[in-house]
Amino acid sequence: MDLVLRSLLDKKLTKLLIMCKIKKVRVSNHSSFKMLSMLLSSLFLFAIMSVSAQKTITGSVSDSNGPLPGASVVVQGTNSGTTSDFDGNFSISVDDGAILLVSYVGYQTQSITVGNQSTIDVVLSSDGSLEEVVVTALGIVKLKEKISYSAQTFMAESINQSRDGDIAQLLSGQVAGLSIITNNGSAVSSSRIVLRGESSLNPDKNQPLIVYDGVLISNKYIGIGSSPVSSDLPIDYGNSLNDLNPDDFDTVTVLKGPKAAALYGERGSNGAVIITSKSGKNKTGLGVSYTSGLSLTSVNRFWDEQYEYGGGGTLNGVPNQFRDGWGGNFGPKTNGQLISQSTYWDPNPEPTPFLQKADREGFFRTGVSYNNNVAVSFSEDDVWGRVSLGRISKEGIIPNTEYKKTNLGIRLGANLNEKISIDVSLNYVNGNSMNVPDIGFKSGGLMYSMLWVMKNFELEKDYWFPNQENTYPSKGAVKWSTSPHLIANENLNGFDKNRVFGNSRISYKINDNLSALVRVGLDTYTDRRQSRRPAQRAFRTGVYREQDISLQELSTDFLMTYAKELNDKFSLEVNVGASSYRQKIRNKIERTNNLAIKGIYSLANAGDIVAITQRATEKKLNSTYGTVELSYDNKLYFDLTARNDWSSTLPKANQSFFYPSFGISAVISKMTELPDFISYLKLRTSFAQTGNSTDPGIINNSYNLGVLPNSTTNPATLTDANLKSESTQASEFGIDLRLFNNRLNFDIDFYDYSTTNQILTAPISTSTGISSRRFNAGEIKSSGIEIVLAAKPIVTDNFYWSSIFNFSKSKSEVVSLTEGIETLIITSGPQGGTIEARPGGRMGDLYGRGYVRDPQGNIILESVGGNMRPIIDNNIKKLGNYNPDWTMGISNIFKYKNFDLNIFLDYRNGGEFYSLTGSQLYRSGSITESLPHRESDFVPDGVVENGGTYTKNTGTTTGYDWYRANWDKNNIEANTYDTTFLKLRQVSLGIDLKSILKNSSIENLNVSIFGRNLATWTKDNFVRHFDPEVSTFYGSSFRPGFEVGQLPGAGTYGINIKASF
Amino acid sequence: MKYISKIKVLILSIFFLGACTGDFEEINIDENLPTTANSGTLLPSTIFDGLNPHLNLQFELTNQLMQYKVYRNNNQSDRYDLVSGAAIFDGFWEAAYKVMLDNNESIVYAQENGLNAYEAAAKILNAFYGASLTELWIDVPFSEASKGVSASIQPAYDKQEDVYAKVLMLLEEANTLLAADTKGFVMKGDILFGGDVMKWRKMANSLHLRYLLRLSNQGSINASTKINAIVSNPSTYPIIDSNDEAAIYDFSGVEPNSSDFSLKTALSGLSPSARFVSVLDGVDASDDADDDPRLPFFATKPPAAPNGPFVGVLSGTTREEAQGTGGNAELYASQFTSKFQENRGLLDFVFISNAEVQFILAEARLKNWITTSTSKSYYETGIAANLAYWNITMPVDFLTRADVVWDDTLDTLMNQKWIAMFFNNTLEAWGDNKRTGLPNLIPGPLATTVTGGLIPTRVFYPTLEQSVNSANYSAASSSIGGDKITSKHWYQN
Repeated sequence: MDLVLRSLLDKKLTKLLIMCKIKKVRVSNHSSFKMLSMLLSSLFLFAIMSVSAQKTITGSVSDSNGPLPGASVVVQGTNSGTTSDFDGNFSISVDDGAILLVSYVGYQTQSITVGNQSTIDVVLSSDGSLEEVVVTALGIVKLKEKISYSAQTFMAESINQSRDGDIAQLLSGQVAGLSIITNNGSAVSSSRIVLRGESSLNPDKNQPLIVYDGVLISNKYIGIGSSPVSSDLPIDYGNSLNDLNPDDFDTVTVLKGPKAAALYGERGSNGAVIITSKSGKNKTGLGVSYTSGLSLTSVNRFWDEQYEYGGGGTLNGVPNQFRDGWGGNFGPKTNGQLISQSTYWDPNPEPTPFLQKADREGFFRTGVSYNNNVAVSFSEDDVWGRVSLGRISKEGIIPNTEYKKTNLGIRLGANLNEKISIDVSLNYVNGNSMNVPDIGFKSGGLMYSMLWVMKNFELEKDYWFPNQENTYPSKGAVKWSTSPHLIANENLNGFDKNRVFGNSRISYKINDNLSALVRVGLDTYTDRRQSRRPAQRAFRTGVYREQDISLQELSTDFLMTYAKELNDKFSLEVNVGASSYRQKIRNKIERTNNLAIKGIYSLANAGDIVAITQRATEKKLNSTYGTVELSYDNKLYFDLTARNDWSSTLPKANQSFFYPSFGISAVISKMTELPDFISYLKLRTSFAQTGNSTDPGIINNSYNLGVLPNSTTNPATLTDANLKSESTQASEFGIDLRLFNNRLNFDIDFYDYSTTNQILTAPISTSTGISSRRFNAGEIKSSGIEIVLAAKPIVTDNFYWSSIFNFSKSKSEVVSLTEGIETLIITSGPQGGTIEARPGGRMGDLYGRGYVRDPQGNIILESVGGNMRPIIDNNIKKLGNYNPDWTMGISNIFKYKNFDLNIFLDYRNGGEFYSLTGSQLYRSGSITESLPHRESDFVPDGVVENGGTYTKNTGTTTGYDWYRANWDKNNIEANTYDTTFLKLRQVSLGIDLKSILKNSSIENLNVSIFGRNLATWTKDNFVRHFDPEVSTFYGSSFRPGFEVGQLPGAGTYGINIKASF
Repeated sequence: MKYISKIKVLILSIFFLGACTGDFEEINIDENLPTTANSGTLLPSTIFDGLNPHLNLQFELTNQLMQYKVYRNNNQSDRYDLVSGAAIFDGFWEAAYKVMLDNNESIVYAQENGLNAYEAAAKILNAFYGASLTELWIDVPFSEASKGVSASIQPAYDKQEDVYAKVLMLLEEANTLLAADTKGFVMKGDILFGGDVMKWRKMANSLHLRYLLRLSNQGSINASTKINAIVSNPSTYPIIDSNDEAAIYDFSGVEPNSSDFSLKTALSGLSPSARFVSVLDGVDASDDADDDPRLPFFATKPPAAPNGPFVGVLSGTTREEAQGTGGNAELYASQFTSKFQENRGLLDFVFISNAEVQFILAEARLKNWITTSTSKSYYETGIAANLAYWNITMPVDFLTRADVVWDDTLDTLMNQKWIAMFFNNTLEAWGDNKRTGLPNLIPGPLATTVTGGLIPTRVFYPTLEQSVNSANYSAASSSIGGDKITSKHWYQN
């Protein structure tokens, strides 16, 4: 029958095809489970009828991969038991009607009532966590037991309960050692993923590789715009992670560290996130699954505003009036008194009641999202497939912002004959939006304009003067700003991205031991973006800009596998492969800063020239690699890998670079007798080296085209002529310990990295004529510990509680830079704050200007214009570090009958950030912190200098002057805060309605409600004004440690219905 | 076993595949970018790229320090509250050294190909930027600077006296090269003078006069003798003698060939300073008839009182005061006219104007370093040159008005020179002020707290230098008496 046929087939498949095989076997398990239960229930009937008698039962225990040696077979309620032998066989004497418990680590224990049969063949299935197999580099599936490095695998269902967010957001806090930064609050946003701390001095390089069904997905974000405090604000159109459809995911495996990803070569040096999609094999015949979700996103964390005062100023000689252009909300009380409220469009109006009118938080809306997915799968003997269509329509919390995405995923597989099988996956994604917001804090940016809407201002939707549409000036904001409604409705940033990615794989089984695989993966997209700006404060004559990006990545690889059992104890597996990878990127930006006819957004409507910038780069990487894996008695595993890369981006002499890795994994619990409560103990250790080349086109030091026609100029960055590849050495040691029959599992890792010869782009003295130099230097050492603790405190028939706790602590230290360089500015934030690497320092150290203090540490004050102000040091000093000291995630799952409740908390301890918005909230008198001292002068804390001695200050100042002077945006120290937070990341409650649908054609029906980012607690009270997950977007990259006009924190609530037929 | 050999071949070919790197170099080149440059393509960049950073610097710093205008909303620069790391200063530093790097490459190329004109142009521009840098920072990297990564990436700072010595040498060399030039600007690219070699030569020698005058307090330079040598040998040292010959870059006004300056003149919150207005509105402030004709050219009457006098805003006061306690400053103070914003080609970049040369000569003549003509004549030619530059007709009585008439004093000379520098090159007005203390500007009431009443003489070194060139930075700081904004220039002694 089908089952037998399948298992036979499975045995013949080579290990190369384990990936398919595992999937398939899970299927078989599934169907065999049904059959087994039928069988068992009939056996049960027999058992009742038959008479008890002692007899010998023989049988076998196997899993999808074949026999399971060492499985435990015991008779319930007795001491008698046995274990299966190397071939999975056992024999045991039992009474009729006895119950056999067959168990094996990581598998669901089966109980079998002995009837009148004499042989029992048991097929155990994984206990659902699928933790026993791991999809490793190049898609090679391995038993987790064999691997010598850390990996965490998730069933996609378990992390995608909310179906809200991309893969990065879903993994946030779930993986020990994985940290994610994203632009919150936008309908579409990029994410920065870092595994195990930062080992590269180049912040854009610390990201792991994303692999989807064997295709290396380019996560390179090609941005637009520059600094978030410039008029050319960056725009986050979302990176590649947005293009993947979590509803198609089957498993997500996070391979941490270079050893794990050594076979991926340079792109895997920061680890890899490997996603496999659903193949369609999980159900024989035709299956349809339908998932539908509705969610609402609204602001739940915003500035804690004061509601007592409005804007101020002197008008026509009368103080305590309101005059636009004067400053912040330090004016009269908004108690309804009659005040002439002068704006630049209405300078001398009649007095009107002075009231709180600007409902800033009310400007934001509740964004409604729909997320529907339908998938059809089929599986029939040797052919299987799945087609999935998904559609997401999402509104942002900013009015008039949105994101729409359509995914089409097709996967087809077939065993063409006994030797050849193919697997094809093809995905098409269209993501588009008519408007996504700018990120940053400058006129033209939303949060800037929001902050400078005076509290007595009406947030006018009617921002144009009559008959002066698209013309500067406009209404609704102070004169150096722009109306938020204008920004939302007129400053549009649209995009339309079409992406196709997929792979095709042919595997050929040459003989029982040898097989070959050829795989071609393609990832290509085009992204068309437009930005339009009518005439306004920051763009007097209007702007129209188009950006066209095309990216193409083609990778071809070839892998041969030789697997053989050398004798009873030893088995060998050898892989040899080669790959070729090619990346082409085109990026063109066309921009006019002068629209001839107002309101017409077209390059053809340029009033003067259209500025064009164009880049075209190409990169090739050829590689050969091999692995040797030796297993002894299924207890002790040793593996060795080697890879050589040839990269087109390096000078000829340095194009080739080689790196090895090795690892040992020992299952102690199989080797020696351990106390009963220890169910399993594995130790693993590994060492790996990886190399990394660089970006294309940099070693040539090409000139730039000059500003004017027919001219050239030196580039701002020059690259050393003999640039070499980077090198990372990593070692790790891990313990996999499971106690009390797997009720309490520990997975602990210690790691140590050293990255040398880093390719740095470091600012150098601009008196050289260039601003930065690209060269090899620097050594970073990272070390850390990661703990994953999985516990199942309560497991009963009706109630189940499982808890997963992850903890990580990592520290990356700068050992050295290069001779003559004392510091490396990794990123510069706004207002002179910098993230610098200095030898002996930690990665992520934040530097900037701060207070001048006396020897006792008191702030020194001076009188300026009769007001006491702190003196701000011209020299910079270390003020913090943006990396947390440690992080923790706790996930609790409760199941009661058909209900399941999932609660997930995310905690981050330590770390600091600079907040530009914080400075401006004080300075604009917007927040409750700015309420004291408005009505009378006060004596600020601090000392004053008197000829070298310091005495306590007795001078006074006004609240207004103090808030402006002390929280000056250049005072990085005053505006730096502790990030520590606890976040209620997700709560979901689901009900499984399968049982009430027994007689319908619906197989599964599940309804769940969820909430994401529901609540946040911060250690520093001031951080209540923000979402503490802070970052700043600069053109193409995230710069952690700086908060610059961040959108408000938002929470999402929703409902999902999943049904399958 | 046939397949075994096939496999061997396959495995071997895998390794060969890796080594297929033949097209690697070719694909690594971005075809959208040039890989080579020559003097003809570098020259437009070296003429243009430093202009807007220089203008921004004038706009944000020296226009305030020299009390031409006031930012009513942000009066930090006119109350001398300068900060280190200000983008406007660091940006000029970066742009100037970048221009000099392009120039240095052009010099190498020109020397290899015997292109005297290009070599001379590059040297003149290097001299101009070298002098501008030392004007802002005193000791600056110069002899080791702008060499890319081929030389030291931590250039040492030259003392100001050495910077100026090199500036003078570069200008001397340029004059010599141009005198011997036969090819001209054969590779094109002269967007300053359209290939007119003589104009470059006049620019070199006129700049030479400017810097000699700057250094004239330092006896060791023997500036007066050299000035006389230049002025008395016009065939060897031709100098600018008419507005047509002035070294002026004329922006087309079409992006990106436009002046950042012109857009900013229409900024809200900007007013002419009280000092500037009081000097220009004649002896009787309430009488428009005796106003300098340049006042209504630059400024408007207060919008709320279009028939009253021009009203300037006091430099270096509190923000509130600058805004006008008596009412809205944007209504009750003069503003700049919108003509510069409307015509983005109207404002130029002035390397050196005819007016400035005439004022230099007037001063040299007043001090009897030269013997040609008279101070009065040079002075009046200077005023006329400036009015002509703005296309303003000189009122017939102008040169005889009490506040204009030549009276054989440096005060009067420097007053008119100061007016003529506005919207021309206020960095040089600052240099004049440091050298002569004229015009005698009175710091605003708040300006006293930061510098003790002194007008800043320099700006802070770029913050980055503290990190990436720290040893040289420290040495330079102590050499100039500390990285302070009041340290003295060598030429001030």
